Amino acid sequence: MRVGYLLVRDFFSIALGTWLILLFFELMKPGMVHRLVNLEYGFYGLCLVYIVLRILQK
Amino acid sequence: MRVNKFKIVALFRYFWLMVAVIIIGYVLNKSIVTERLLIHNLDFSQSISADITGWYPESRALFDHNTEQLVVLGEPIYLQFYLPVKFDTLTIKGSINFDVQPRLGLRQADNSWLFRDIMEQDLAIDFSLAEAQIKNSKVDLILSIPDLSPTSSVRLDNNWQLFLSR
Repeated sequence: MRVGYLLVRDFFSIALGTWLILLFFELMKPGMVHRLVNLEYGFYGLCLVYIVLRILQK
Repeated sequence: MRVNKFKIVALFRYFWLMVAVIIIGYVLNKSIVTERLLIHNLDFSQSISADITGWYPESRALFDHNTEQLVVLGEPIYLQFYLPVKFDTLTIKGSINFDVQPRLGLRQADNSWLFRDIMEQDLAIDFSLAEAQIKNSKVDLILSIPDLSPTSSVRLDNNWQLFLSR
């Protein structure tokens, strides 16, 4: 269970960092990221992973 | 056993980091343009791609897979393309079959259209991008056929190219 939590925690922190970098690129130059990667779906995915992380934390 | 578990965690951490670097690298690679000339090859069989949206609205244009042509059913139709960096001129090349006069326009900064008449079947039209409206790094084109009627026909061959130069 502990290993599972650490795996999800690492994935979440790296995915969040990547998403924030991509968001920064998109804000810097609109259309740069969104034409290739859907940031909205990425946000929903992050929310889902965060919920899983909180469940594993308990 | 405990060490092995943490090795697995560390291995996955590096894997996620590698995936993140690949995604960011892919986005940057697709967005950084150093060439003096950028060519967009249009494919009318797809109404949406990473760089091109159009021609739209889709109800006014139909792609004929037998002849590989886009049949214009109504007018005007629009096309939007992505401009990664600033370019000076846009040249549109391709071929079009028509029996009524079509014209191609580029949206200007003041929201008006700069039109050029299409005179020949094989077109090569230049536009200056200096006064063009660039909204969210995208530029709008319009194909207008004021005299289009149910009996007339306008067909775009699937060989159009956009040349962006600076």
